[in-house]
Amino acid sequence: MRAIKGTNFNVYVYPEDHAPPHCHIRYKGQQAESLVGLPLLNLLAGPVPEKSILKTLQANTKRLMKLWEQLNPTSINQTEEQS
Amino acid sequence: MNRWDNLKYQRIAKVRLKGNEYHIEFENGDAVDMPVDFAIPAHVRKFAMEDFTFNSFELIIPAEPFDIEIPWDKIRINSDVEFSRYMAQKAEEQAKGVGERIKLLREKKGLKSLELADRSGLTPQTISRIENGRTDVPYQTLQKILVSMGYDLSDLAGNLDEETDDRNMPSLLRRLAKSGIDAQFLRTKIWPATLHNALSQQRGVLPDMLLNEAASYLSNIFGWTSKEIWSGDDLIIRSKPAEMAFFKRPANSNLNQIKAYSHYAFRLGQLVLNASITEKKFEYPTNVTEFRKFLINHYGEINLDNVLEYAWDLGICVLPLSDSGIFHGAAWNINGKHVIVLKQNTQSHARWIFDLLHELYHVFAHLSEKNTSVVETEELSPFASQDTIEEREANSFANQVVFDGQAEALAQQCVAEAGNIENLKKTISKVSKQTNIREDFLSNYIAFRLNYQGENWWPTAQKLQVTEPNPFEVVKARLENRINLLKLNPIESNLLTTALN
Repeated sequence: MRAIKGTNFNVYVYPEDHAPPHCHIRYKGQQAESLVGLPLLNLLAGPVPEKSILKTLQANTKRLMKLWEQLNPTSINQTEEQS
Repeated sequence: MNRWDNLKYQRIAKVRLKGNEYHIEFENGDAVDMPVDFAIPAHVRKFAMEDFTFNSFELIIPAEPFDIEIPWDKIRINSDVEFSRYMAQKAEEQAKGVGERIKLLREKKGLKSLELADRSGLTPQTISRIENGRTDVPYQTLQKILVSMGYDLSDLAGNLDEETDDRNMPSLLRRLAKSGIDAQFLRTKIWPATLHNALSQQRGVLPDMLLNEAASYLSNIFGWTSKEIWSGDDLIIRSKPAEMAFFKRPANSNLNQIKAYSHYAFRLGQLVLNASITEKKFEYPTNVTEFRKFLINHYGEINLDNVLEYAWDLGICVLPLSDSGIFHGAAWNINGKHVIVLKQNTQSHARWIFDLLHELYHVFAHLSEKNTSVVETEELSPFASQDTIEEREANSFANQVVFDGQAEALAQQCVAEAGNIENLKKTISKVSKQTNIREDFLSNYIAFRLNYQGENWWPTAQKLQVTEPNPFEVVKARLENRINLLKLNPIESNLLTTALN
């Protein structure tokens, strides 16, 4: 599912995807995708994204994390211990 | 570069349905058969598996309420074991990374785990599990923790505008410990007391001035740039002195600690050479007999003062260190200049003299080379099981100087005349008077010899040792006479002074 539409890139988050939590950056033109971990924005595969793209991801971290959890509910332990 | 970074590995070239499997071909020529059952999530009831489409990076199967999109990596992860392992490892690293980052932000705020638990309304166990890299943490929990410290989820990625710059003392201490430099060593040997006190009195974010000063001491010794020190990455000791010439790696030892201490001692050796105001007065002796003869004729009896004086007059600097640990001395040739480091925990002059003579041999053995290094990782003894010929020769040199080549004969004479171990002390004193060989040398040699045979005669041998004045102070006083600290910058001067005190 497309999560962010940029000028020369799009960001996707998929349902029932594999660990760790991540998003896909798909570039316009003949370029491999970058798989970027959430929320650290660590590179998992593909080329190093431009800083401006990473900044867009950083500004949308909460939205991307929320979307990842909605689409991948089994990857998260929803019970947390309250004090 | 991994193959999954490559466009052709990622891009789907062709897909066809083959029975109950999708046959997927990638641009790099790989082909994968993916069962339809795997492609369709269990909860999806209505789908049209024959009407699939695909683009370069995903396979799309029409379904209700939403089409099923399967990205290239999900297809690959089930067919490429290496890729699957890689992702599993990345998942672990990522979870650890989140934990470390939260811990770092907490420490930056000067908060204890309990305080953070209290602020965020979570149990201390939850905080601890997250900081230790739990993998399945909901983003709301992370958000709760971060907001309670005045941060946001986006702060977990750090500041993208700057080079990674974590000016954070707990993180630095952890990375230093990993490199073999523990907090006590920093406190007692690297940072002057005033700096250490100032650092420990601060809570929360430390002022840049203090951090810069702390970093400059580390830079001076280990050659790290400020960027490396605050990067958050592992601090690597690029240590020529430690890499070269380890004669033996002691069992159960921490190699990082030896490396770190060797590098520290090497740097001190460099500083001593830089501060030295002594000139080489005599030519190097060509053999042990010449050495012994010159020593006795020119300086007098064989004692610590005289051997030291001779070493310095040969242009060989001698630095004493008194820390505990596995480093037991070194001889370095630094750009053609020589420095010996002695590190002994005993007060026995005989042991200090033996070590000094042993290291002098290493200097003489490498006169024609430049930038050689010998690091002793075991306590020196005339009977230690030394691995190399040079170590045995160094022991033999020391014994020949001290005993004039008669060590074994004298030891046997003492044992024979004593008849039993109880009379040994008296006999050694007698033989010492007859031969003019000091009784502390003789008793030491015999104690080592008996020790080798399984007999502990050290308590008696220790009674015959010369221990006054304190040998460390003797070597230090000689050094202080031969150097001028004003030739060093204030940080270098502080480092050397701290090492000697």
